[in-house]
Amino acid sequence: MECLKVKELLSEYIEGVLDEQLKKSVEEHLQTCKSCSEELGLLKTYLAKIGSLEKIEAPKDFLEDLHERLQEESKFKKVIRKIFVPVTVKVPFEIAGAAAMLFFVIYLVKTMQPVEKMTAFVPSSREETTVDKLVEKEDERLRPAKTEQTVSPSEDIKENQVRLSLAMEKKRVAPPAIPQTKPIELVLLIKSDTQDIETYSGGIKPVESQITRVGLSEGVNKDMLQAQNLYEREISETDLKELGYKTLIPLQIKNLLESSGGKILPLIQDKGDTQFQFIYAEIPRGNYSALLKSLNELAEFQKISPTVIKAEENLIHIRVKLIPYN
Amino acid sequence: MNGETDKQGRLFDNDTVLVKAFQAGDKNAFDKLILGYMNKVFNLCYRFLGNYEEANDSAQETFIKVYRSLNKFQSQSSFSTWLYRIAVNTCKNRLKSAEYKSSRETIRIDEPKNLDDGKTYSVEIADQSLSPVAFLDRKESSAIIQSAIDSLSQEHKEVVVLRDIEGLSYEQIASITGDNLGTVKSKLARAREKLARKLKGLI
Repeated sequence: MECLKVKELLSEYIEGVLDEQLKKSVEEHLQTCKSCSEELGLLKTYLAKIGSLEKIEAPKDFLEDLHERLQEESKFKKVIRKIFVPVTVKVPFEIAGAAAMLFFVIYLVKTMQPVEKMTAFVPSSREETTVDKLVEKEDERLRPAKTEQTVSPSEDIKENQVRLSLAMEKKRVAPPAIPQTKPIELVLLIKSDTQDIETYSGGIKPVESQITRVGLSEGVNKDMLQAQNLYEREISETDLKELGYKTLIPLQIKNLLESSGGKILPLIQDKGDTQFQFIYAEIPRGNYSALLKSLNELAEFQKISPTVIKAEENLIHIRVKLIPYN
Repeated sequence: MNGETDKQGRLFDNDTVLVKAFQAGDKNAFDKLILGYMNKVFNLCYRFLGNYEEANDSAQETFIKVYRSLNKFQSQSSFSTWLYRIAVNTCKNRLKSAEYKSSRETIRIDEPKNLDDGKTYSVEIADQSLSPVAFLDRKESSAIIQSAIDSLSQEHKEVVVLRDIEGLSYEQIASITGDNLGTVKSKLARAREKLARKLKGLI
């Protein structure tokens, strides 16, 4: 057996815990190895000395001290309990947390709501006047087709629901005017060789044909239409010249705005540049998307400024800019 | 072994009886347990830390921890093994603490230092801790042994204190330190060899 292995076993050998075979091997080695025998002697001396070390006893008041410390600790715990118990009640915190989360979710939902709410079309009740019907139908025309498909007018809806929705619809169609700070700018490209004002022979046929297409004039009293000032308005050449129109398109746009229930604000034209026309108008919010479609048929959109419409704004302030091109 | 039997006839040693009594609400049982172990624990702490005040604080801390946890103690291991484990860990933590280290700052004399001026300095101080003259003057071989124990690493110190001072079995030591039996034996052999060499000619 090697010295290294024997030295590892010496500790157990002294204590007498080695098995017989290992014990014999160690003893055989010790008989011939002086170094390991010396090591054994050192270990024996060490064990004898360390075994003779006096036992250090705890101070006499050790137990009393311990009791004092335990009492202090329990007092401290009581104080901590007094301070923190009301705070550590879990339920109020959980409720507070849940409430905070609820507010947060409501806030998120509110901010993520679509800006323009489209309400489903609801057929008017029998008591409604012809004018109300006209407004309803007109608004329906200007609403996207998708909305119309969602709820068909032929669907059987309870009377109460109809009344409620109708009231809401009326409120939406005729809202109080809320001024907008910045108008939405629609930039339209107009071909400069479009029909000239000199060849225009009165009436606003393109717009009228569009109205016919959606069937508004069907069964509608023309006097009533005129009363609404929607389609049959005649504009004289003098008026057009005064307004600075060079082509028919601006006139059609103007009438289209009006037919969308919009109110034309005074026309503004760049000084010294008659080619650039601006038409300011306020139109009901519900008619905005339909108006865009109609405008796109008349002229090419170059730009539509980002549309951000606040939920409470029922009137949209727009500025149509016209740019001629060849 | 002094003890009692339960309804199933199992024999309980005195410690287990006292622990169960404490868990049943008898606070005096705790005092009896302390009285049985306080000197052993104190001696262990003293040999581990080599300082009376530190030993006193650590022993107190050990029993406070025992008091706090005794209600949760289950007799899977013996009470004494559990108690020694707490005591050893408390001492180890104290040795690690910054407060303890700062109170026992030492200068290494075996490694020369390179200072900012580029020169190498070595400090030569007589090794008072193990100087035969110093200790002959004090005539305390126990102080020499304690100094030798202090110089051991923690893992060697714990096996030496538990085996050679407290006289615990290898199995108990393995249970306290979390090592297997072979590791305990191996650690103990190396620790003893180191101590024997350190103490050669001094005692």
